[in-house]
Amino acid sequence: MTSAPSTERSRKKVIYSSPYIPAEWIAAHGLEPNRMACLSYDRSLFVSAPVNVEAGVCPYMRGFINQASSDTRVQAIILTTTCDQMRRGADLISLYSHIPCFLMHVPASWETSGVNRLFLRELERLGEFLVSLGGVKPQPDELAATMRTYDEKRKKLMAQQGMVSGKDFAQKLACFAETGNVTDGREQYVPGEKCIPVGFIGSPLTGNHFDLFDVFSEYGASVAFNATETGERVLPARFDLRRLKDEPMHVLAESYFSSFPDIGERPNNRIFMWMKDRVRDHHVRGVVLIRYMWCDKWHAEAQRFRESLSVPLLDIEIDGEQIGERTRNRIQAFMEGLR
Amino acid sequence: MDRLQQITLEECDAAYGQWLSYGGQAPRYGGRLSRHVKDGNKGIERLKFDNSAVAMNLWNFLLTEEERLREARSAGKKLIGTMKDLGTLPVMVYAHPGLVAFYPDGAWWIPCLMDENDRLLEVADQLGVDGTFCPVRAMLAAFVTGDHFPAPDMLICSVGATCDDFSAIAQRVEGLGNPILWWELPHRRALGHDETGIELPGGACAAKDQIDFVKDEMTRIIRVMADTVGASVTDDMIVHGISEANKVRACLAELRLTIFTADIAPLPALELLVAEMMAIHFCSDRDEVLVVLSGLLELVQQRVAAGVGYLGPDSVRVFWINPVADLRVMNMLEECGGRICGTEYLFTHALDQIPTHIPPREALARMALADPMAGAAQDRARRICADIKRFGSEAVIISRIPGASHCALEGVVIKETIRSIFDIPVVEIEVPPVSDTFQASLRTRLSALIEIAKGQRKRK
Repeated sequence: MTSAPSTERSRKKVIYSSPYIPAEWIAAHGLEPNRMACLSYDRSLFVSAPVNVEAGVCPYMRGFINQASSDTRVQAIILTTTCDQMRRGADLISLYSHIPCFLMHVPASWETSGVNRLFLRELERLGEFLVSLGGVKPQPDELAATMRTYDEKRKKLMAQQGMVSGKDFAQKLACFAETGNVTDGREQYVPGEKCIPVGFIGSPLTGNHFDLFDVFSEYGASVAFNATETGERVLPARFDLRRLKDEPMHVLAESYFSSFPDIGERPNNRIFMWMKDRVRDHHVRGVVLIRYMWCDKWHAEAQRFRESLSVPLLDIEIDGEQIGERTRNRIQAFMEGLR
Repeated sequence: MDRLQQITLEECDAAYGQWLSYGGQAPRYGGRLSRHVKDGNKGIERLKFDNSAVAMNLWNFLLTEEERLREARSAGKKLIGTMKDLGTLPVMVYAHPGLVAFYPDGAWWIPCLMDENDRLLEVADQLGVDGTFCPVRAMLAAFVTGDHFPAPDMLICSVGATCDDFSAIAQRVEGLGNPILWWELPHRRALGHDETGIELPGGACAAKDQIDFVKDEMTRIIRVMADTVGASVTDDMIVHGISEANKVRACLAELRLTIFTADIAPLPALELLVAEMMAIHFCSDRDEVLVVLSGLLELVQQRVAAGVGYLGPDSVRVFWINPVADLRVMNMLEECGGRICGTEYLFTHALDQIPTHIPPREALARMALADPMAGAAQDRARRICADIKRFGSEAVIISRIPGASHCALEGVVIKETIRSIFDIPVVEIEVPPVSDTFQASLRTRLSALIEIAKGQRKRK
């Protein structure tokens, strides 16, 4: 844990990429949470490092730490251990960057009370780090008030699901993650009668990947749900308002740690059951797994999804760049197969 | 078997026969090494072996593990498949006389040992776990084929601060109907400003609350193990288990020190790698492993005293990082003029002495957290640098594990840290399970490293 140099106090943004980081915890400390959308996939491993390794390096991790560490408005970077690449990314940041970096352990197992306590303790440690940056430890009522605000915003956001197109909703989610703002819906979206509903699952969608919605639309699909790591799957459950006043930290920890299913949790049977429910509830006719090259956790389960879901699965590997012709062709073929 | 040389499998058989004719006493798992080829281990035909009887005992002991596991089961013992923690849980499991631990992870060497005749990698491909994953994907296939180890009575796997490949593959193993008890190993975090750390075996520090957490996980494992296989492991048993494990570790520590500090390499790199691997679960026989390793230590001490060894004092002292999936590459080191003077095969925590002055579950917790992969790559690099200095290594090989989620980035940190401290050459290589098509380029890289190191020696 490193204190921020006083000359850099003017910086405000606290950047993170994991859905396990509660924005309201950062905001309650008087700092600006920003779940950054990675827009750059610079091929260098790390902008200020005298090294350049591509093989075996996740393009998302590379893009995230490059962008976060080169943004002059960034006060600190928070990474989590949910992915080995991000865990090692923290090693690189501490080696090559002066920006304070906090690595939070998010337990992979979830079935015991011990790991719930461990997650709570990690949030408390994160709080200590935020204080070291110049944040102020919130009183319980202040934290509860911030949590209520975020809870209401998420409620407002979720009310727009299905009312706007899949792409618009994904962008609204991304906007909320980055800024904490919820934009109002405009006209009601009605998918064409012949549109085939599909669902997305997988790694975070950023930058150019939002074009995937357009590509699927071009070939006659509507995206009925977005269960990627930037989609609605990873929103925390609504807070238990009855307990919020007395134990806000516990409510916060419970909501963020155990409410959404994740591919990396062990065991990860919850995500398979969750997906079956979504496929049934949204009447989707195909599921699209979108994953980054070298992302083992999603990659290893592609076949299991294929075997367990009642609809066809398309496995798309992205490297952080534009959607290529090969991927377009596969999407086209997949959609033709669904007709 | 007097003259020191690396010999082929065929020569091994001849030497073994000669040794027997001079009255050599073979252990119960002894015999000509070529019999293992008939069992499917065709890959050993391409290795070169130290020509001593004790080295052949080492190989025979390694290659008969499956038989021992089946014998243990026949004798009514329960088999516990420990996964990923590389060294911690077997200490606890072997503490109970009715339990035997082994690592299904060890299947990652099967494609090499069987020269891919096992088709494990092909089976893994068919399961959707292709060559972009670490060679431990062979383990998944081994569970499917059921040919390489008896089905364990219980599986226990560490998660959290572990590599993604292993976690993902272990989850697939469970998805195929093999229940796993998952236990959490938190990332060994940096200490806070006002926090006092506790020193772990190997020199890294951990926060007390993390040690307490892992200790609780050990308690949970003991409880579930009692419920699942009906064997209750008590603290007194663990104290004894730690004491026995420490004997093995002490023997290995002496072996490594003797080899690394000898003027002439008294044992080839390959046999040392195999010997070190014995530390993690005693190759399924905690008592016999000590016999095997003690024999090896005695041999090495005799060779040092006699001033004999491989190559000569001119050979380059190489520090090797990460294990290789294709064992032939260890032979290649000597062929290129190098010798091992320092190793870090990802399980240094299984080589360090386990503390005996503290409660036994806490001792195991400290050991688990000392895992080099549980903490920052900088911690790993620091220990490596300390050993480079201690053993006077002149060159470093970082052997990347193909597909492994951690290697590319860890390699960067370790390499840069070494270069910031030492003026010695560092090379990264990547070794697949069967490296036939890479042999020429690997040889070129190793030769270049040795050449550069010799050049630097002259300049100094």
